[in-house]
Amino acid sequence: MSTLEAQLQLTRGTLELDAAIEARAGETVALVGRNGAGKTTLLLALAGLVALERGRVVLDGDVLDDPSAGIHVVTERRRVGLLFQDYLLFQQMSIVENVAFGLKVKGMRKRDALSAAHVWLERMELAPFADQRPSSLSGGQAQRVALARALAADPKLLLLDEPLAAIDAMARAPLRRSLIAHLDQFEGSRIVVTHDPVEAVLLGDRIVVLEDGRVAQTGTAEELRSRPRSPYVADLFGLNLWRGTSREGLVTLESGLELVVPEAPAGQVLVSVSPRAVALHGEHPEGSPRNTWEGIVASVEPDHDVVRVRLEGVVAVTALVTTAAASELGLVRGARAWAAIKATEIVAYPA
Amino acid sequence: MSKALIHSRRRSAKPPVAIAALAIVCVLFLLLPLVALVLRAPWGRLAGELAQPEIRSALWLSLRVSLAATFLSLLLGVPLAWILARWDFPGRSFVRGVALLPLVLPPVVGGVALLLVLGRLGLVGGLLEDLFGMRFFGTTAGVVVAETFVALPFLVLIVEAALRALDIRYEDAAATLGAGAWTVFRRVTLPAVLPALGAGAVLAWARALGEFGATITFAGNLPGRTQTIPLAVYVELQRGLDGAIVLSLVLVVISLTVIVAMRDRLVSSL
Repeated sequence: MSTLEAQLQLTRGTLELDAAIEARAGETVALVGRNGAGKTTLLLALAGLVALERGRVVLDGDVLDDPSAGIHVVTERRRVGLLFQDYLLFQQMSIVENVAFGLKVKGMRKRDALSAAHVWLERMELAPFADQRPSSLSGGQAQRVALARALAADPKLLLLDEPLAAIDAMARAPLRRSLIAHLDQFEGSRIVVTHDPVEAVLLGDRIVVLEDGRVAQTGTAEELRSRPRSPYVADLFGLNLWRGTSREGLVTLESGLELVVPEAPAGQVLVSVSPRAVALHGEHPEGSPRNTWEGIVASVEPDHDVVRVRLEGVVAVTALVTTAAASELGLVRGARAWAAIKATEIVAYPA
Repeated sequence: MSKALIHSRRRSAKPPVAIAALAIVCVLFLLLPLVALVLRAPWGRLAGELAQPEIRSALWLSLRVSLAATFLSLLLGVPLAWILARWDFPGRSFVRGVALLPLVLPPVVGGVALLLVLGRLGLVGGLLEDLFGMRFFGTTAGVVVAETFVALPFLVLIVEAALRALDIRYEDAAATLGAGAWTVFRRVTLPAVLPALGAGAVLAWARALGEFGATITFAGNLPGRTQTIPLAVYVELQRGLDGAIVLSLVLVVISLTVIVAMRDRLVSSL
């Protein structure tokens, strides 16, 4: 039903947004990108709070924006819900009045709006807070009130701007689960902005990557992970990504390093390698000398039970090794080490 | 962290003697006149003085007129404050300057200027009288106009500052929930600036209540019609001290009540 099809072009400050985004009914699209990539601006444009210069926004068959035809449906008539990063609950109203707001402004009688809002609060397990002020809530509770308030207004499209950013790291996982459960109840389409890859994978049925105002890549988490098309996407999944030219099973990277990749298609390719597939050695590895190069350890970051090592040499590479291996090899900043990658662990695909 | 440090430093440090001495002189200068007023007040005859018809009528008139001026200031000042806070238009600083002019203009000058506009021979005064029979000199309406003129800037200043400090995204949030511009203003913007609105109104009211120069110039000094408390104080002073002191005390009590009731709010919104 509520399908969103949007092409958005606008300039705002130094940002030039030129992106297309789609979302089917019941689908959650995770919109990821660096700070300043245009994620929030894209949401504001979909909500009608920022005007398009060119493009077209169609929701559920209704044209909401089409500057060339002079169409711009104002925010209050769009039925596009927007959850702000800091929730923005109305401080001078009680919790239940906040949730009832969207119903009241639509002309519902005060008593009916309040009782409908109570139902929403029950559903979100917030009933005991109904008559309190927003300032008395924790971040997670405020988020749920904001969600209830947005959903109560009966939107066709729900936009969430970093819904978990204001939550303490410790409380994030349970809140993420409850957010997913509540979003599943909502029949319209939703777009969640995040810069946390875990969140993007868990919340999004599909991921859209925005870079410098443009869609750099889109697909399921698995598609993005298996074939990242930009350094940012590779970073998102913690992968190594290089660009190179392939000829007869030999890929020459831009830095000149040659990798043996028997399956590589000919021509310009992208090469991605999981950091778990990168082996580190204290000295030149014996035996098969292929896909091996020397470098200097640039950083060592503990990551749960493994260590993420950044090795800089003819190409920079990230490797995940066990804590034990790291100390055995003496992997500290400035140390020398050799990286080795099995040919079968390298994924190459057309650039 | 650094904030806490600044606070503790401000509390514990002792001021230099010269600065402390001048500060004490300042406090005495502000306080002694009030003390003198209280000491010289004819406490025994207070009730009698207050019961005098001209004093009672001045009190009653002042109350009505100052409230009317406060209402008018709200009615005219809030929309202007909103426009100044939200719309970037050419000449905005000029308009803001105009709105704040009565704050620095001597009230007498304001009264003369009002005469030149609304007086019988003024720019539009004659027209208003011919068309609607509106007259300002010697009428209570004239006092309302004079008091509104001097009281308005306080309201505009405080409400504009509050509107500026408001996070406009709350209004965006309301719009995404289906609220149109007017509903947003009424249900989100106004309630959020209500404290400032209250502070502005009280300050405007206090200013209107004490208005003298513009009133006597523009509306005249007719007992029962245009003679407010400050004008009555002036007249009483010609006859003897007691009446003037009693009326002054009334104004002092009102002023102190305002200050005490609003002290936190005024400081935070100014």
